[in-house]
Amino acid sequence: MGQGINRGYLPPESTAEYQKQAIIDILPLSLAVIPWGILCGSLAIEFGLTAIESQLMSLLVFAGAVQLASLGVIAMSGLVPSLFSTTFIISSRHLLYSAVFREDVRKLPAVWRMMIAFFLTDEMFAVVMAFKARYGFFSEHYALVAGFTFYVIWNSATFVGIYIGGSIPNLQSYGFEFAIAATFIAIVIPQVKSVSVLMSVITAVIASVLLTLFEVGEPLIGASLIGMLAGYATSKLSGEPIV
Amino acid sequence: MIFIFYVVLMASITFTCRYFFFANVVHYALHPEIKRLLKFTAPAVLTAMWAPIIFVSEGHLNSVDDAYFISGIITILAAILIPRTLPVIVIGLICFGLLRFFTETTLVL
Repeated sequence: MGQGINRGYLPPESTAEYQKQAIIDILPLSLAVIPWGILCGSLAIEFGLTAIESQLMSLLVFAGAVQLASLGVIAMSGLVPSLFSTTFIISSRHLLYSAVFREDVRKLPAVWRMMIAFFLTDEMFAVVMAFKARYGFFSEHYALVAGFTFYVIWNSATFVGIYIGGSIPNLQSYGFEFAIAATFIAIVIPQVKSVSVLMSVITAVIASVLLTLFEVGEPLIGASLIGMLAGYATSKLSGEPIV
Repeated sequence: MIFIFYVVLMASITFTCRYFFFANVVHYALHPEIKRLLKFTAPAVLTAMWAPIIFVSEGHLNSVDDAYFISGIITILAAILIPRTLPVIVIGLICFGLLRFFTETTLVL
């Protein structure tokens, strides 16, 4: 305490409270991705996968962007090597999340490490980082329940998509992405407590907008790295301590 | 049937990326400078996800009267003023919903 981390919120007192908090925190993101879950299931059926194969995508791969892209690759080229290289490129940001949680997770038993890794999505990473920023520590109970809640909702949505099949209306016109953007904004902005984080965010905004506009490479990966380097450079030059 | 095999391979790639740094096989501690860099993972990666949604659609910059742009700016302002996540999301969504409702009604009229 007193390090500027705790804003006066008391951390949950029992495991059950951590779990409840995790479900509440991940809920907006889980609801916002329901349309994409439905889309993943429905498109998989449309591209000729069986119901079991389609559900296994969500049960095992459990990565929306990878699932949608892989269906695209199969439909466009059917080239198996590009299926795996696409999977790796899209998943590579999870290497970063894994590195960020390393010190917190490494001391846990193997089963816990594997469970947390399996459920480690953008959404789980986002809420766990918000939790860490608010209370100043990592909770494996919180992380696991947040990840698992998201998993259940994602798989239920996929199931609905498989059930409906190829007959869904144009989901993109409803603007569900805004819910994801609003949640990430609400998680990122309170973490801007130093000039270096501010620089990192501003640079990531500019880089991601430019890279998306001009369709340069993988905008998400490129802009993330540029934003991180901007934060690093500012932190290094201004002599910030490493916490 | 072969596709199930592909799914399992894809799953091992996604799992490996997520588990990589949790493995105890490598015992080294992360270099302090790497830790300094990793501190910016959450703000940079999450921003690289939300910024294009707010500022870009179909290959061009959103205009200042776009529902995504206005609601995005209001959400950012709300997040600066209110440190709680949920109220900020609710404000953003209400704003977006209202703007969408009114712009679409105007289109119909």
